[in-house]
Amino acid sequence: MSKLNYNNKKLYMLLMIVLAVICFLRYYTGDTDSYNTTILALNYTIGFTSRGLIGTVFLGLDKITPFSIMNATGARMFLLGSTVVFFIIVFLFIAMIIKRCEEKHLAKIELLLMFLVIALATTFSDSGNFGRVDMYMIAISLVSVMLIVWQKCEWLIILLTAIAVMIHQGYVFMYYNIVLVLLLVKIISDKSKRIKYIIIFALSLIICSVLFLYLELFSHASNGAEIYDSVAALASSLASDGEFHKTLLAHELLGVDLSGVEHEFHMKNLAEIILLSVFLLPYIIMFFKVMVRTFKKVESGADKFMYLAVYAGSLTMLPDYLIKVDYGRWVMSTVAYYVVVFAVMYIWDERFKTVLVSYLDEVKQRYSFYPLLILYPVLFVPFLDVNIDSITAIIGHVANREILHWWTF
Amino acid sequence: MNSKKNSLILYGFIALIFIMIYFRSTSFALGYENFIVYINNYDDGFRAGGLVGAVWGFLDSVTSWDLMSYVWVYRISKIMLVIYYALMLLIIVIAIRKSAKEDKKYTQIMVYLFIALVASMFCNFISLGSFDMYMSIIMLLSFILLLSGKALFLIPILSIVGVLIHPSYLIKCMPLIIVLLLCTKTYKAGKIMGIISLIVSAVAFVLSEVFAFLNPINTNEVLIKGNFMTEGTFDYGEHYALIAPSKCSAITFNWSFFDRAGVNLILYTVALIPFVIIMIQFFRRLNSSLDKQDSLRYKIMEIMGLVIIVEAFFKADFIFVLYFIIMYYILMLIYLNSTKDKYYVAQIKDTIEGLKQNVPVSYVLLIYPMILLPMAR
Repeated sequence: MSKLNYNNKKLYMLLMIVLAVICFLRYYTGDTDSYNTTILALNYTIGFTSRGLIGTVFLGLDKITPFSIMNATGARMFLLGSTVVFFIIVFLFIAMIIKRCEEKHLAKIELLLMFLVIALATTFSDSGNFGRVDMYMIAISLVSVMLIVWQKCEWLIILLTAIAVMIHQGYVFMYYNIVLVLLLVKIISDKSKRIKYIIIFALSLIICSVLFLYLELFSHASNGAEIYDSVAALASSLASDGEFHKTLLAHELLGVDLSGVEHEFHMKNLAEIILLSVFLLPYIIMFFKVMVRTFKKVESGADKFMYLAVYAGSLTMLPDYLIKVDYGRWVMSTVAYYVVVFAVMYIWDERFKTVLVSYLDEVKQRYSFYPLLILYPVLFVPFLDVNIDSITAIIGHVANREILHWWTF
Repeated sequence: MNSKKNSLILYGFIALIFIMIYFRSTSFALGYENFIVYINNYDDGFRAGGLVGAVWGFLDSVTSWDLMSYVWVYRISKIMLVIYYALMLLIIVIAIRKSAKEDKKYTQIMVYLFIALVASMFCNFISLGSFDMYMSIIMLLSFILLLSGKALFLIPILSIVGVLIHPSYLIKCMPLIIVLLLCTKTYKAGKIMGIISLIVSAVAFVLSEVFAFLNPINTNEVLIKGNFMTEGTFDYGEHYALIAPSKCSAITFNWSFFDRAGVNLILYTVALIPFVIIMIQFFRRLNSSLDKQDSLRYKIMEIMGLVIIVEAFFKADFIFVLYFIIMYYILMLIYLNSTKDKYYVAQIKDTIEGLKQNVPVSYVLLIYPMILLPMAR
């Protein structure tokens, strides 16, 4: 680690914080989707239900504070406070990476992390995703990653990942991959602590799998119909406009399967993901080029497996892409996966860093429009929920109206 | 990769970014407020801000299309937006081509800043099809003639056209054209063209303002035509009809600075503080490098952009004032770098290299304005 560049690193951190604040203020309206307030009305007083942990924490806070927070203002303050804590964790992670990076290789990783800051700050300030449970899941994965990198209290990862599944069982597809892949890298590369990491990996995986299966299949409240009205009334009081998310409560309390009514959303998602893939094709090509170059430098089977896990780790998202419809969130999780895993590999793995740096230097030398490659992806944030982003949403809408006719809304 | 192919990819990429910025900021609608651009014409004598309406009315009378309708006004506004982007792209191509080989990368950086700062301005439904969009197009056309050094005699004509589109062209757009003609030594005919442009545009301005007072647009005409064009849904009603005459003038003495538009202007100016600081430092260093005989004209170039602020005291569309100030400085930098002005080329290079060395991830300065998009009234 370079001491010389320490002030530069501090300046970078300050810049990122200012950038995050500006991004946040740019999109923050104070409003949020009813989903994000309704979820606060689900807690364990109605049974060990899925997505009930945050609501339980909210209820606990209400009990220990001298004033009532079970109202719209309290809910907004809770979501705002959670968002602040989330960004503190994000900046701790970035500081950890920057601190451990050599001065001469700093520029590339700084760019990558800057994009993460912009994507997170815009996405989680936009009214659709402000207070969305995804931020707790990202925060838990980042804390787990920090524990692995710091090599301190790694056993806590088992507890943390279980908590993340209790917040939202979608964690196993969306952000768990970050922790699992980095544990796998440790298992393969750190021979001295291999057993420890295998145990953490296995225990975490077993507990999360069991929790996931229970919460997904068996946790819906048995007396859902009886308590529906009271939970709905509470959810309604937590929203600034009195609206609550009917489909969320129908799913969690009444066990209504929504997959049948989401067909048109799937078609919309399909059109948008094709468009996004075309628009971001240069980056997809760059990704595959870096991947091929990495594999060319690898000889042992174990290392090949490790890099395969690193590059293909985001495929855990596949079930969500195939079954669910919030493609904006899935794309956010894919982006977060690659930035976080690449950043950690950058400070851990000399071979990976060499390949990435030499490739990016080559691109910079070869193409005079290199700055545009950095500028362009910013147009696609914030990521939304059912719509991926505002550009693909509008172009998809026009394409559907004029040519495709895949959906009717 | 050879440089020709590289350049083609660069221009293609920039065009793609324009398309993306358009789709990111557009709302597929046209604000009724801008119908005045098409309603106001010369049918009842000369009027301030009546040129676009006069041309539109003429085309309506000679073609079989129903041009005085929402659909057609929306269409022409979109076509004009495409022309605006095409002109921006043309400026970029000429600027990069004209730059010295070793300075091309600095021109490119300024071009990216140009895109990030102003490309989204007229996508918004309230700004689309406004007087300011047409004025921008005329200003960009004049700038292209200046940058390419071709048909300079057209600049005075374009200056008159600009003022006839809207008198505020003299305050918002002419400072750039006049300064580049009078204060630089790029062309022999520059000074004559500059003086002629200034005189004719000033005369057109005075005439327009006098006629804005003597022959204002009839408020009933606004209501009747607006309702006709929108099939009875011209929801601005009588209030809009009453303020319509002032929309066609550059001088309306609007002192309500602390209304919503004023707050927006202050917030946007605060957001642009990093660039303001960079520009002040840039000009300070530039001034210290100037020879004595060049000092005055360069200092005039530096401060003339601030003349545009005058318009903020007369009209409430403050974001347009800010937009034209940004346009003034960024286009001036592009012009002087591309025409190889020795002071500016050296200072631009030093500033960009300095920023690269001292600001971690200096690209943040390019990305930052993109986050503030869309720039909207």
